[in-house]
Amino acid sequence: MSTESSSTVARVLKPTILILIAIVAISSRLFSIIRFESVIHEFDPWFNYRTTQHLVKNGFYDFWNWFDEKSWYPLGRVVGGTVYPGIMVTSALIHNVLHFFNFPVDIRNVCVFLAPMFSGLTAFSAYLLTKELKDSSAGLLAAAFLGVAPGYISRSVAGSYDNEGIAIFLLVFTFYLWIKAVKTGSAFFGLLTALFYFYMVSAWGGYVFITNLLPLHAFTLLLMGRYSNRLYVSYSTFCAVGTLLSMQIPFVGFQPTRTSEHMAALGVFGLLQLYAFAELVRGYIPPKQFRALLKGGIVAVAVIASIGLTILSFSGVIAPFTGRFYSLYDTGYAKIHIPIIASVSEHQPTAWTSFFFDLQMLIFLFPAGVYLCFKELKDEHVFIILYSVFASYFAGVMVRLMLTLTPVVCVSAAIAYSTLLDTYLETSEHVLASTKPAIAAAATSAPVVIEATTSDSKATGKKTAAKAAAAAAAAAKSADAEAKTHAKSAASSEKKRFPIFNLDSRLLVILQLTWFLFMFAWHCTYVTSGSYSSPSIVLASRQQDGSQMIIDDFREAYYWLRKNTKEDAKVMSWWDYGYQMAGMANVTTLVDNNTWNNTHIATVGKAMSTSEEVSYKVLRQHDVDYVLILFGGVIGYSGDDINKFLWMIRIAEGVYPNDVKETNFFTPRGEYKVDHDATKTMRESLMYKMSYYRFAELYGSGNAVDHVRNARMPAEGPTLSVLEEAYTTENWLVRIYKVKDLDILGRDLKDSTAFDKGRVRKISSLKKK
Amino acid sequence: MAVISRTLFLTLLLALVAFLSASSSSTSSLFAHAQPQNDNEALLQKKVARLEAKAVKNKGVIQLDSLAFEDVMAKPRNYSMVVLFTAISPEFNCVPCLNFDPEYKMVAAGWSKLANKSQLFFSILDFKAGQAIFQKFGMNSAPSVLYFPASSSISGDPSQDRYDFGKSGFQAEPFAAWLQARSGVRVPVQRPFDFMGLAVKVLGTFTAVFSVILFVRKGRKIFGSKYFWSTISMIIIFVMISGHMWNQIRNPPYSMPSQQGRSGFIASGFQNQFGLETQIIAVLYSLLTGAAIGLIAVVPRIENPVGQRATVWVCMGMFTLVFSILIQVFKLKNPGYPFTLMFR
Amino acid sequence: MNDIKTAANSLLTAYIKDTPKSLKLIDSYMVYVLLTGIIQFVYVVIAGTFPNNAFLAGFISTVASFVLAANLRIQTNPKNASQFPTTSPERAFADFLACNVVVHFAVANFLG
Repeated sequence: MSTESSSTVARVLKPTILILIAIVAISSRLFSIIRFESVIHEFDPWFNYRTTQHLVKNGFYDFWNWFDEKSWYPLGRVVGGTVYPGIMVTSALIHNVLHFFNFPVDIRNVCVFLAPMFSGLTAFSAYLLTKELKDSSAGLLAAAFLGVAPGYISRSVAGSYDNEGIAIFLLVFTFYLWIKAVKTGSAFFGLLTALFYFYMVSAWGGYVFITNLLPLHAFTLLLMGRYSNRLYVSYSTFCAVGTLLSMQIPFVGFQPTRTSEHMAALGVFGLLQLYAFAELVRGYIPPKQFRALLKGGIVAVAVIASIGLTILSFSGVIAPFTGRFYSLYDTGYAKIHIPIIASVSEHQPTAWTSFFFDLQMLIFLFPAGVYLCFKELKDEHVFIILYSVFASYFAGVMVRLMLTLTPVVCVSAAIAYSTLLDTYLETSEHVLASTKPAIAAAATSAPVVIEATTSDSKATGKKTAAKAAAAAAAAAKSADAEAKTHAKSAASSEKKRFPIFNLDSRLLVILQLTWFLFMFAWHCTYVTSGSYSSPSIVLASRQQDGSQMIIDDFREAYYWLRKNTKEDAKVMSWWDYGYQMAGMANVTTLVDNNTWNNTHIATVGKAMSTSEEVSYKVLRQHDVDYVLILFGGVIGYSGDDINKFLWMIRIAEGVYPNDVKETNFFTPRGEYKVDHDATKTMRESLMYKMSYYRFAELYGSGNAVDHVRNARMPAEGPTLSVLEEAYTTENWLVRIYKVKDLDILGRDLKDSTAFDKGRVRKISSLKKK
Repeated sequence: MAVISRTLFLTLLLALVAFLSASSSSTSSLFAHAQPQNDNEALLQKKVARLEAKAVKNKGVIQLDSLAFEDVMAKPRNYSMVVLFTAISPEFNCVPCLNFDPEYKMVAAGWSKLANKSQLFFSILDFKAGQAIFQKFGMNSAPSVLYFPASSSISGDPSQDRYDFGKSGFQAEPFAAWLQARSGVRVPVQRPFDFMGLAVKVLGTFTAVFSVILFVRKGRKIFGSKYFWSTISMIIIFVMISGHMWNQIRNPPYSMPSQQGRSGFIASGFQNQFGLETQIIAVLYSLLTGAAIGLIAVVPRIENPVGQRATVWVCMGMFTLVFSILIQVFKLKNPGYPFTLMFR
Repeated sequence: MNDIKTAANSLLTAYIKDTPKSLKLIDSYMVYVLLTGIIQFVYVVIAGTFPNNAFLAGFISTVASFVLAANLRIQTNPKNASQFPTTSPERAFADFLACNVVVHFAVANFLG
């Protein structure tokens, strides 16, 4: 095959492979849909979904000024000013475009499939980014890696309609544009960087990562003495336009000029201006005079800057770091000062297992890639190095930031992997011609194909795995073609390099590497299907005979609420279910997952954890019509409200220390019990009563067992007088209670209930007679 | 007059006798009890002296067993007790016990430096030595700390004043604050002098000074050298991806004594790890990366075909071997993981 | 001090002698923008930043205009031609226009 024809083949192959990778990336995210159905997952996505619906129905202006009365009753929430609108606008746009072309796609499906679609785009932008760093074969590998890496899939499966779904694409693409801008020195690419930065700001709070990484790159280049006019053009365009644009998002507001985490960008901007001016002056006059001028200039600038900084920090214009961000630097900070941050599971630090689980073999090819970047060390490689170092630090501090690490791991692992392939597939036409290069090349590329096909047949059933592997193998093949053209230039510039002499060495390395690729693909499929694809609103459990049982109680309950309550019914529940209730049941909620008002949450906690009389007052004050709780005691669902009850108590105690005392809920032995040993306060609390109301009847005489806490319940269950049971789902997972109106006769509700019961008993006893 | 005075005297006398006889019971008991009370006093003083001696010997902490516990808690008591119920022995695998132990001792040591140290004693009751007491108090989790004020009588009733680990954590400082709320005395917590930290600091300063000197001398050479920077970045990356930040934040024990078939340096559980474990992982990762770099950068520089072949085989062998070890370690943490490379 | 004076003098003469006319035009524009920015800043120091968005919009628009003009100047400078192999002066001007359109669109939006 001549070089020319192989390059044409490569030209055809590349788009094909990219499309295949995109298909693999999308299809490996569809497990949850195949297994369950096309639903929105978890909690936050439900809010995004609801706002998107609002946006589609009422248009952009109404969305922008939306005051949501249905959440945080009676406070309400200004939605337009407190969200990152990027994802909603994106899906509304897609929806409208599709409808314009007469594709009547439901907005729900747009939302469900948004993250997988964008993952295809992410893979493509990883290709572009890596192509700028090495060559297109490395780019293809990076795209394949990023397409299936579980670290990214974890937040972008179908139905996981959350900000991160599009933000990672924007992150990678912004970085690509930035590198392109630095390389070409074009203001146009700087502008594009700024525009995509704006998109990113509108989509995810993680934009701060870009805000700090790009200035850092520019600053490092300055320190390395690599200032160039290209850097000036790209950075100052990006910074001026990007800062301005980012302030257009109401939720961000004036932060870019106020908070410290944005200051680095502005500082480097100023520095770059001065440097550029100095460079300009240097061009005009002899060095000696320039030095004199420079000294004078530095003194003047230092004086002005120090005066300015003192004034600014004294007058308090520059705010300190915000807590969430600060907790990244001082890792003990969140633990002590902001429990609400520390308590959220995705803000926990990352154990090494998570790294391996999410990235498998990439995690140790990644440092090798960084090493190779050091070897090349052009401007763009400096960027990748900085990105790797900082992202790995942040990913170590917070599990959630694995997301920002994953792209760079994929990129630099791809660089390492494709360099390996280059080295061991290289047909050495140059230096020290060996006797059998052609045979070696033919022999090495053949096994790759054979290996691919055999493993393909092995992996039947694991459809996506096979696909991924095939795509990767194809990438490897094109790497072969690419290597030829690339190796020439590389080898001539480097020190003396020799080809790999022995066929067996080549074979060994190539076969092993291919095998690792397969293992990686299997691993990714395993992780994706096993761990990252459950929607958490529909549960699946295995019965003893191995058949699958679908537990759909949540939707059953929400549907009941939607159909059987008034339009403006107020439903109280713990905040975890706020978004879901608003989204699925369309009722007014008191608190939801946007935990901005701690007092309000504590009030709900108080209503749940005090006795009926006390909480009835709270319920009446907040016009609550229904109370919704989760109870897992029947089927053993451990994430129910009794298990979360301690948090409610703790939060309530923080605000109402007189009404709620955590210690009263513990037995004298310091145990948290719900059975016979439960304390009086526990047994009288509304939550306990609601959970176990009529629970004993389900089992008959005294055999009631709570399967979550493995507790044998008393035969005599609690009685309720201010609430009445309204609905309990099939598996008792969700229970809904209606709050009684005040008694017509003005009696105490407790008395009236007792009276009613007495009457009922009398009547029934009369009938018997 | 005389008669009158005599009768008066008589009546007074009678009244006195009557009074005396009426109150005799109480006075007699007063006198009768005076002796044992003194005895008690002496006993108590002896006991306190004994406890003090014990406490002094052991840096403010008294090790108890079931008998000693009953003895110390027995009624004539003018001191408060803090008892740490714990299970230090390795077979119980009680990580929080191990974590809290030094903190507790630190507070005790701080207390023993105070003037009024005999007002409160710190004691430790290990499960091995005091199972009976554990049962008596219905203690089924360790560690727990109970506070017995001087006045309280001790009974099986477990409604004792208990330190809440869940709320306050295992650090010495909140524990000292808890004690302060009860005893009214501020307990100074003095972290033992951290020689390791000092060494690190001294070393750090030396390195800093040294590097400044170097920088002044041949700054461009060092700081312009990409080897310097690449070493630093690689170290940071390896430290981070092996979960070191988790250790920083969670402070797990460095390793555990190994027990039946479980090695002591790999923690069980997916979201748990030991200090040593992360170091092992970091070493495995760096071996793997090293092998990859060797294959990329070293092999093509070798002119001799035999040597080159050997290097390739060694590197690739190491790569595969270490990778399979890594997967095995991962399987320890995540038993359901289905894939293996070399070992079954 | 004397050094600086002579240096500044020679800078000035060199600038007047060596700079193409088009660049001087851009420079005068930049000086004008710079002065506008300084005036705005002084005004804000005196009168306060009350409509903060209006001030920011105005100030950032001057900063952005300055920077974009600087970009244009750098890219059209014949001395720098070797650094920008892909950017012709016409291309540079088109970029300049595009950036300005975006910036002033945002500024208009931000003025409120």
